[in-house]
Amino acid sequence: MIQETEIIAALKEGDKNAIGTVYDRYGAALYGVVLRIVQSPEVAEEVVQDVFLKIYRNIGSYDENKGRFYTWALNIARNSAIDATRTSEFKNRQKTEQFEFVVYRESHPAMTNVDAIGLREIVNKLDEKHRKVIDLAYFQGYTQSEIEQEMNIPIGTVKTRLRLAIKELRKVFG
Amino acid sequence: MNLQAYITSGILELYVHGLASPDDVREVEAMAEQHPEVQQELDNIRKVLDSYVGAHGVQPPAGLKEKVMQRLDGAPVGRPKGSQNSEQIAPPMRSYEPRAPREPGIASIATWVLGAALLGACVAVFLFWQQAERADVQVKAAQYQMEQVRKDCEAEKAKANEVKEQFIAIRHWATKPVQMKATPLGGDAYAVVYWNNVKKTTYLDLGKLPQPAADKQFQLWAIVNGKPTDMGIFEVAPADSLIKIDGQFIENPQAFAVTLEPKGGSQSPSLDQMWVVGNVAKG
Repeated sequence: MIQETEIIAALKEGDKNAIGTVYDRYGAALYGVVLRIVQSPEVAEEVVQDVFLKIYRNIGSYDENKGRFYTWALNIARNSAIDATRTSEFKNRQKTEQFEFVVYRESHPAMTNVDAIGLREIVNKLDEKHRKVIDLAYFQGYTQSEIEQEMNIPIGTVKTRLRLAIKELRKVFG
Repeated sequence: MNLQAYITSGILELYVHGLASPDDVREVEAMAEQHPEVQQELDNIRKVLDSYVGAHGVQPPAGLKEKVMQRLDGAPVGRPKGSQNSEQIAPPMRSYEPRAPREPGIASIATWVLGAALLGACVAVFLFWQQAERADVQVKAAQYQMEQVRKDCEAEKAKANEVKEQFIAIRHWATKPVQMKATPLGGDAYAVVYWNNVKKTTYLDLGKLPQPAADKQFQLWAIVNGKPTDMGIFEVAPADSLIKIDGQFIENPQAFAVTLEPKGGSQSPSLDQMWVVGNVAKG
């Protein structure tokens, strides 16, 4: 069994094969996050390539004592995807692609793992307003004040909802 | 502030989601350093969030892995700066050095066989691990669903029991239905009280009582010796039109009536707000 520490050590030595292992292990999660944010399979494919390049280039700045590798990689994916949505090219593109993506998603109902492993139902059981806070913060990179504005709730309520959402999720994943 | 209150305040969730203000970030990090409990909670939250995010995973399109690998070619080394010269872009993976082979041919075949076997074993173990992890998520999902089904089942059982109980109560030989008819105010409303002097039970069939305004509630009264006795307020729930009236059993009612009262009910009925009324048949 390949330990994560070994993969990281290999990455730090510049071993390209290690990226392949990372891809096999976390590719779906990273692609899923990116797709969720950019909403276009075509853009997601490009962003994911950047993500792995960044992982490979910046592994030196990853500190095992500060957190898990998976978290670190997810953050890179999330940030790259959010950056991609902020380019003007993306904004123009989005208008024409949104429709296509909806069609794509509708015609591939089993596209996400959430479906495949029956987690969608669980995720759906999360109170909509709790889920929305996570989604805005995590997937859309909103700031505190943007969330307050978007949902029209004070910061205290944002805290409470996040806490309740995590509590609910703990029942499933904890 | 005590530690537990700090942990449950929601600030840690805010921090993990990247929403905390710079001041809060410093505070959380200082707290985490001082208190292992805080650090542990942070790790837990992160793990849960990561799992949730991972649950949105999508199988990437075929060929993306190859594109990723291609992009790496020509990429600078992933080493921290200054620790390595650029020649060694991709150092080889650790490999087994065969010990000074006496017969080169056999030894190199042996190396290949051993290498292939090791590689095969690694792949097998990795695939197994991957499958086991997936299975674990599936088990958790199934457990959760099971728990939901069990809860639903218990709720249904309770409902069925209640209906059975109602049915028995109403069929009982001593049960007297008391039809309450609308007053001029009540329009086409009606309701029925099932009163049982042997079992000492009272049920109210909501019949055709309308949903009252939000600040009003219906209240049931029994008239005993010409005086109204409070039998409680009740909600008009369309899906469940027969309700059991708990509280004191009224021994000798002459009539039952329903009035519309301010939310929470009244001490004595507002007679101008009587909606339905019915006399108890004698005997």
